[in-house]
Amino acid sequence: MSTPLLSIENLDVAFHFQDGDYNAINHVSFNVYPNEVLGIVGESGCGKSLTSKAIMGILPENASVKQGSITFRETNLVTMKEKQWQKIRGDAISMISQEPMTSLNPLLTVGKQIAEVLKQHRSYSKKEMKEKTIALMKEVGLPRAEALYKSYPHQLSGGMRQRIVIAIALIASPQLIIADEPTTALDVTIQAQILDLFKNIKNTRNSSLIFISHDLGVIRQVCDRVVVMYAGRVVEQGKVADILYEPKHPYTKGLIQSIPDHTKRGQELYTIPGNVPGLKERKRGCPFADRCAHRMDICHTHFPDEVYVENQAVSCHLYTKEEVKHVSTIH
Amino acid sequence: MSAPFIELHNVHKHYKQNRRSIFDDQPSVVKAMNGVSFSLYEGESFGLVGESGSGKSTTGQVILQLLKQTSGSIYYQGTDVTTFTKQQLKSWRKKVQIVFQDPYASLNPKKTIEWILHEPLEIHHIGDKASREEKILETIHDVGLDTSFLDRFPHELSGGQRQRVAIASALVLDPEFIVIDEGVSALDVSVQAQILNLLTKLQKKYNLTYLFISHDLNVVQYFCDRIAIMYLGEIVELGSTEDIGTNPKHPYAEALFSAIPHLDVDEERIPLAGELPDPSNPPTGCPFHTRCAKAMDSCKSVKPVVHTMRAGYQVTCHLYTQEPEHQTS
Ligand SMILES: Nc1ncnc2c1ncn2[C@@H]1O[C@H](COP(=O)(O)OP(=O)(O)O)[C@@H](O)[C@H]1O
Ligand SMILES: Nc1ncnc2c1ncn2[C@@H]1O[C@H](COP(=O)(O)OP(=O)(O)O)[C@@H](O)[C@H]1O
Ligand SMILES: [Mg+2]
Ligand SMILES: [Mg+2]
Repeated sequence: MSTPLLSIENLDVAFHFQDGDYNAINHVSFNVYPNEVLGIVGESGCGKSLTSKAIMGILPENASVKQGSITFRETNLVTMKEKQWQKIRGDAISMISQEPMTSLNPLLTVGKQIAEVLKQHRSYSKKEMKEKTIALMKEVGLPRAEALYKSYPHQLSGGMRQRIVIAIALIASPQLIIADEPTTALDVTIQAQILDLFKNIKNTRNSSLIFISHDLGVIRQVCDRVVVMYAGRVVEQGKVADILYEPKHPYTKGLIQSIPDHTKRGQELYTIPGNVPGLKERKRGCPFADRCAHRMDICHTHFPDEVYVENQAVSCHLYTKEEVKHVSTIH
Repeated sequence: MSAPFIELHNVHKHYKQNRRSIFDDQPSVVKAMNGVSFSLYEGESFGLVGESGSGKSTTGQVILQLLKQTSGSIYYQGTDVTTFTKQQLKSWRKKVQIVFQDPYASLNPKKTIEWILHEPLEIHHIGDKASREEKILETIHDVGLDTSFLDRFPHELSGGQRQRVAIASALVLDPEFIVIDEGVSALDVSVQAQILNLLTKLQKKYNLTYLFISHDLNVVQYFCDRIAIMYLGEIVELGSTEDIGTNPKHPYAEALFSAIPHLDVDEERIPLAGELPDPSNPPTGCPFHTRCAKAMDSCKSVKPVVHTMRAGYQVTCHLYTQEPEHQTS
């Protein structure tokens, strides 16, 4: 495979509390290749948003990167100064958040907010900026873009606001776009429209996309590969179809089995016993061990190495036996 | 079929909105329920689906008389609850409960779980001290929690545990009917599965009737026996989950169901253009005609009436009541 655009290696992000540091992200490694859509899936609290904030250099004040690297185009972002960050953010890497209302300024017209990105990163004339903005508003499916240019966020529906946020993220043609649950707050019909837009972005633009969602059905529609996270760890990663139809990690299996749909009507749903451990309740070893039907002694003491099982990379002691080939990096 | 447990007859709920600007001379009216009629049968799970703003929550709250309807009747086991006096309402309220999406907002953050479960028993003067304690213990076990939770506060619980407490506080009064308004929507998949199993178990144990409101069609198709689809305050299609899930008839239902993200193969998507029109200024004729790929001339001016495809399956669409005309699109 080609050189990754973004490479995260052994990343630890910790929150600093009075009683000590707690790793919210633990030894996370994955790559994003040029022109691919990588999904990150997992239940709330597993570290999806934090991972994206680490990439964007916008970690909360009480959190920091403890070890590891985030390499983007041969630069380690982790050691970068805020000044350098400001050049990259919105330009080479941009982010789309879950709640479009909070990422828009209520007092500025939406057109200005899109154009503002160009103002920061490009030297276009006013007229050029407006033209580019309106062209992009049309591209992301906003009708009557000229009129909408002058409207304020509260005058738009949820779906239209999300399109504005997407336009802000696209306007500088970034190489990497991170979309954190971009359709979670939307109705299925609007979600379907926005997912079409993402598929279109993938086909027409030369960007890579990290697409975060808790919904595997949504991941399936837009992503090429997917990373499954549990309690701050990557437990499995691979091509979407392999993960969905041939999951290897007991957590991934359980997660997929517990999704309700019409084929399971009248049957009790499969449930994973217990709860996701909180940040301070995570123990040594595999964080899933307490809930896992296959746990062994070693699971409580050592987190397993990532090994290649059939087509995907899995971190589970079930697969770390001699006969399985160890590999250090997996595409 | 037996007599309906709950029956809505042509129910309207109109919200008057304040003038939005000094140029509006009329206060605008949102018809959140615009002639809604349907029946619920004892022991069933009835799903109410539709995009946000279609009137689902309003319908749930009007049935429970938490909101007063503008017109229409609602029969509960044959009695019209819209004519109840305050006293009658209070004693009826024990039997009908609601569980909301966000248990954080619906549970008093300053009170212990024990207090939260005790409160409804006290309001309704049910039992003495000993029997109340016994009821609380029974209920907390029913929802899969143990007594160690009783002296905790809502913020000390996980989302799933809070939703169990919200269900317990609905259950403690021995209700017959529960409205579950997006009650599992905010939960993670693995927690959602636990709560759905719990709701099924309780339904069997206590013969509960559920009105299950959700925008998640995968969950509704898993959980519900029958489904009604709402659009701009009107029911556009109603039938068994099998019928609607496999072959929805109304063009809105078709588009809605084809938009569900599946884990296995996709059905062919029927694109639905645009978004819900301004509810205070709904389209003339069929409310859906502005987004309908199959709209005919008559749809713009003539409101379709309920058409019964067969017993228990109704669709409100001109496609099924008239000979097809030439399409306009
Ligand atoms: N500002 C914060 N202070 C303390 N803990 C936090 C903060 N933000 C997130 N966390 C914790 O970090 C973990 C990962 O959070 P997050 O990345 O937001 O999860 P996700 O996006 O997967 O739902 C969670 O356990 C969460 O409780
Ligand atoms: N208290 C209220 N005052 C005015 N309009 C309201 C009020 N509550 C709901 N509405 C409007 O009624 C319509 C239906 O709302 P709702 O019943 O909450 O729909 P749903 O639950 O399907 O999202 C929407 O247009 C909404 O804006
Ligand atoms: Mg998040
Ligand atoms: Mg609602």
